[in-house]
Amino acid sequence: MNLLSQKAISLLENMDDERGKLFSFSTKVSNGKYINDFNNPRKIRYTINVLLGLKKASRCEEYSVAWDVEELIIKFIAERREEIDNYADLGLLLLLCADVDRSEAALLLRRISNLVESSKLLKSNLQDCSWLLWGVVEAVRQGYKSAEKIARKLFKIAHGYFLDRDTLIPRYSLIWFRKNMSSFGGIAYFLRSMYEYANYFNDQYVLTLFKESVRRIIDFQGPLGEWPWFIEVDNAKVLDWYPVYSVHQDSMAMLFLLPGLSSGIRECINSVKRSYSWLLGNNQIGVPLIREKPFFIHRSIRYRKQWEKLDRYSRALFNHVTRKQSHFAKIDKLEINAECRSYHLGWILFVWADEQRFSEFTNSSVFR
Amino acid sequence: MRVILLSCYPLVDKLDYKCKVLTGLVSRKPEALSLVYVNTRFIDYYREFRKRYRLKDLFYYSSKGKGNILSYRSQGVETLAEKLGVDVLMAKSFNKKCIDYLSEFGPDIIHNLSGLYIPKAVLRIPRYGVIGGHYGALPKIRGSDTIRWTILLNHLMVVSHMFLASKLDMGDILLKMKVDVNKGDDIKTIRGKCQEKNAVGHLVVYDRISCGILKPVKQGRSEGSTFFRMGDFLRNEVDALLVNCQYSHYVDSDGG
Repeated sequence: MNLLSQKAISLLENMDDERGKLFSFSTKVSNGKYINDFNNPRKIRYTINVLLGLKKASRCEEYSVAWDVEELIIKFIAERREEIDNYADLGLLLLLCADVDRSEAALLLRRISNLVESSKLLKSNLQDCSWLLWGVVEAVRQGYKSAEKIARKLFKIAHGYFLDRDTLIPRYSLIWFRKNMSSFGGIAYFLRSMYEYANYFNDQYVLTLFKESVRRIIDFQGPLGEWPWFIEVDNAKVLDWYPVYSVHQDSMAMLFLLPGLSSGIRECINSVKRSYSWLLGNNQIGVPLIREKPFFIHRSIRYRKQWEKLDRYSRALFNHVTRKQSHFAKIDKLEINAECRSYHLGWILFVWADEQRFSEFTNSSVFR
Repeated sequence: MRVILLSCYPLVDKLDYKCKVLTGLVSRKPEALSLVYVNTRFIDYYREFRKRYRLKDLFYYSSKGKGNILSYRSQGVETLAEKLGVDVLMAKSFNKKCIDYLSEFGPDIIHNLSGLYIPKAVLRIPRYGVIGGHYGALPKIRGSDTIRWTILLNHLMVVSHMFLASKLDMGDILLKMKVDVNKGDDIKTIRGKCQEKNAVGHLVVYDRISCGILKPVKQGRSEGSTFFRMGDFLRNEVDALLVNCQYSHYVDSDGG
């Protein structure tokens, strides 16, 4: 297993809650020690993410961590089943357990089927739809008979309602005020689910859409390889660059870039390299977002403001209304967000644990 | 042979290739031939217009100097049919009147030149089947905007004929004909060439059925994919591919 994945696992060993086998919502380093925060319900979603990554890592040959991942998954589902009702989480959970716990997967499929039959999904968002589709396609792959029909229906919704075919950018939400603004995370998940669908059903139309959309999104990549946070759908332009997230740079972009590369898109090679180089210090402030001792990956580069979240939404809205292009901020207005979310490490493991390509990154000296 | 020619929107039905099918069939002297029009109401024209063209498309085409999207001729198909002594039926839709007429006529084949979805009730009427042309290589490329998708995917331009089935473009394949694409052709020109081949194909299928040598080939769902309307971004990409002669299957190409 590569050094990056080993480091991610060792960091995760410091981010779990021994009592419930949950992984932290947020972790910081203080005086050389990890300080975990479990006070946010998002820890459930993050734990699913982490387990997904650990499952992938545990199937690599040289995996050597004390956890019995399949047992962790079964225990987690048994203990937390009632708390999981978010649509996206249901999809991700299905992706997690489709080949581990067949009875649980069958129950999940029934819940998802009811959801798809109702019109509730149209009130959901791109992430919900994408994770559901991804999970259901995995269920089809694992041989659940009812899953194929659900997958086709979910694809119909994703393709018919969320994807803007004129710009090839999916809409994050169908609610009028958010319809024209899409976030990078949603786009990454959407592209991955499209790829999984196209790949399993051998659908050339979907595969073509995937490949063309990947090329489209690569065009948005900034001069230092950064992925914009907010994109306008109708005019296909960046609404706001900040925060630039490490998780987008080192793993979520790879959810579509690596399959894109496998599908023959040569532009993905350079895009992957520029994407991870940002994390290693080739970014606006010229500082690596990886801390070596103790090992840690900082969350993002963001505006130095008190109401950062409110400020970025206002900025994006302003650029949308005034039709202005988003610009990069001056360096003195930026700061590093020095926290780490456990799901980030989950995606790192999911993407890189069994990946042989780009070993100059995954076995980089910063991970020694 | 008893033959029905199916078309729609009679007021604007002036496409050259349809006239060729009509005259070709008349020259073959079938036992009976009738032209049936559906979607003849104003609302049908309006709906088709809304479905086919958005306001911005009109600007898009006019700004590129491409003029009208389809090539019309001065004489309509309906007028030609009357001149040739072919009965013409106007039906609002595939309603009872239309289906009763078709059943009573008892056609051996129906040539569908309407491009409309044909309901099961009509598909069941003819002895052999309803024949439709498709501008793409079946079974690989099904659905709509197939000329553009063929160019984007860099596949050979083919017009396929099939017996229409209740599932879109899933009927038995009857004939496949290569379309010659030349350097400098734009979408409109290629569509015109596909229409020419479509007309020829309908007549070839008619002849093969008459001679009893038609060999339909079944297609499986997993053998191809259904393509949908292409959005503006990819349309521009396809236009650029044609302008820059980057399509690999030109007849005058030295390797492309």
